[in-house]
Amino acid sequence: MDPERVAALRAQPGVAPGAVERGLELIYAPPSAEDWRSFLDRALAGLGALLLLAGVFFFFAYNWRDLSRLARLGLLQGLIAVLFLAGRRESLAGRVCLAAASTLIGALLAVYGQAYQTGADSYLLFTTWALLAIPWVAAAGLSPLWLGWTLLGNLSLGLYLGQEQGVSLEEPALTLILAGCNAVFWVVGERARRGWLVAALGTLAVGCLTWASVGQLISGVLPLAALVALPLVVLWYRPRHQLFFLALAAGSVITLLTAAFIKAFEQMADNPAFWLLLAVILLAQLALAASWLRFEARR
Amino acid sequence: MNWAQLLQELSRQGLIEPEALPRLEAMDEHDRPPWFVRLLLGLGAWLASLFAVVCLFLAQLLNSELSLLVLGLILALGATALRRSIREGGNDFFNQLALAGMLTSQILVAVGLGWWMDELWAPVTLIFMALLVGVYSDRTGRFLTCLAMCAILAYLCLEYGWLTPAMVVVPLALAAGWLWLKAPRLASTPLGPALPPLSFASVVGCFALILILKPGSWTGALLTLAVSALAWRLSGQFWGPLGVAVLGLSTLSAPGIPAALGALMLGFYRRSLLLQGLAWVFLIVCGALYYYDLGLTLLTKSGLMALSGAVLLLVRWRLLR
Repeated sequence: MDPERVAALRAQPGVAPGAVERGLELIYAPPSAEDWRSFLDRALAGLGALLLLAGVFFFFAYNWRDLSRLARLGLLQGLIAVLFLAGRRESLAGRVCLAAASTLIGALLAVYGQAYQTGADSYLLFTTWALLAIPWVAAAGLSPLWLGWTLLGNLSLGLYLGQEQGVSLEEPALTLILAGCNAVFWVVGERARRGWLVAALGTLAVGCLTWASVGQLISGVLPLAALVALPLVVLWYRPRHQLFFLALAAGSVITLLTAAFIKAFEQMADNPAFWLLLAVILLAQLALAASWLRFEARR
Repeated sequence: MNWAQLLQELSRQGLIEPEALPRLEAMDEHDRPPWFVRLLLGLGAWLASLFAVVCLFLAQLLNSELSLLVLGLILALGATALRRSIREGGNDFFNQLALAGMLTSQILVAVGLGWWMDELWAPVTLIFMALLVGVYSDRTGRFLTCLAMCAILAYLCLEYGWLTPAMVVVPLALAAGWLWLKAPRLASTPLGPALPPLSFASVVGCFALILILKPGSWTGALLTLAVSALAWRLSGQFWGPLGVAVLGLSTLSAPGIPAALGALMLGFYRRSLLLQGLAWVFLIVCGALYYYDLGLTLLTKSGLMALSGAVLLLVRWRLLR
């Protein structure tokens, strides 16, 4: 609730003196005891689990030389087993335990690779971790964990393309593939109605697509993927009045059009008129985007 | 509580005439865009201001400190006047033009003062920016200007030894806490319209300064004390401050952690999901950076983190009993 909107009541007829102050008191009313309880339940569970996990990761990063391979692996597997048993409860604590267990799988794989000097590429570690973690992440059902898993998946895919297929980070193909992968996650998240997670996945997908498309424009290639995908985003979210995704698409279009202009007239970069025109074009695009988004919000 | 519910409650308390309710319920909220739209517009305007500065330099209009200062002040006055002449939800192009002009004026004045004044340029620029925050009636502009002020404070710390990170980070954190805690009272004062951008900018600026300046244990201790006091103020029980104190003291060399905890508590207290999200992201970033802190061995950090985690889970169990 915007306090300025409440303050604007002061100038309205039919509003008594003191209404604004009382309105502000109501919108700023502190959370109830039940709200605090719910918040502390989630925050302390999340923080406590994160810190314990961090403690475990730091412990194994310390490379405790006195521990045998068996002891190191045994400790981790024992911890995962305990967390699995604790995670069988249908509660937030249970789900946090499953989330912690899924994270420790990565530590287990890392210690395994270190203990036996497998010489495996790093993408193998992350890919195996991502695959093994799927049932745990699904069972925990926590949106932050799904986001973490998505980022892990991106890392695995990026490393695979870089290390195994020799695709350089500068090449648009890598980020285009990541954009496609994230788009799949986005669609799945949308169907599962995961709230803020859908927005995060959408940002990831559109971000990768925009980055890849700018790379294509710089190379003189038409960004076909963006030309197809961005209108689809608008067509899907416009009837649903999802302003965030419309703003995301608008931001991407502005970035691409600006990049296209720079590429088309880059030989004039030492001319002040180029930069002035660039600034004006950018402002005009922003103004159009703001007007369109306001129109969509009112619709 | 949504807008309609608020109006119904005020009407029930006799503060709004029932006949006025339909008209007031239709009061347009869409003139104030949501935060992600303001982020898009703010970033774009900032980029446009950089392009404008490049244009002015290439046109050789800025070949002396006087020309920089004069043009900067003219732009600041013009942008402020233009913005004040546009109502909320008015012409978007002129809105963005005013914002870009205001941001450009800050760059020109800062560079001009830097050429002219040597060491004093930073405090004078801070005063200029503070004046702009007061007169430029736009949330995005105020937010970006406050962040620019934090950047100058960071520069002062890094450049001059007499200003330590603790002297900058701790007062900024306290100011952020005060703005969020006293929001109900401040909202109906002349500071009211500037309150949302100042509140968020103080938190984001504090986080950024902690990342850039990497303050030490004294800052961590002071922030832990402040956030423990906040926890006591909000909860009225000693378990909250205990949890904060344990976590803060075990990560003294990572003052970002108590800062993030404070932001998380304030975000929940003031029902700001955005502030809570920022706090979580910063907490995870600080936790990751703590890994690279060379002051303690990994084994020590491991013990401290695990112990803190266990204490927090114990506090949770105790609180929920």
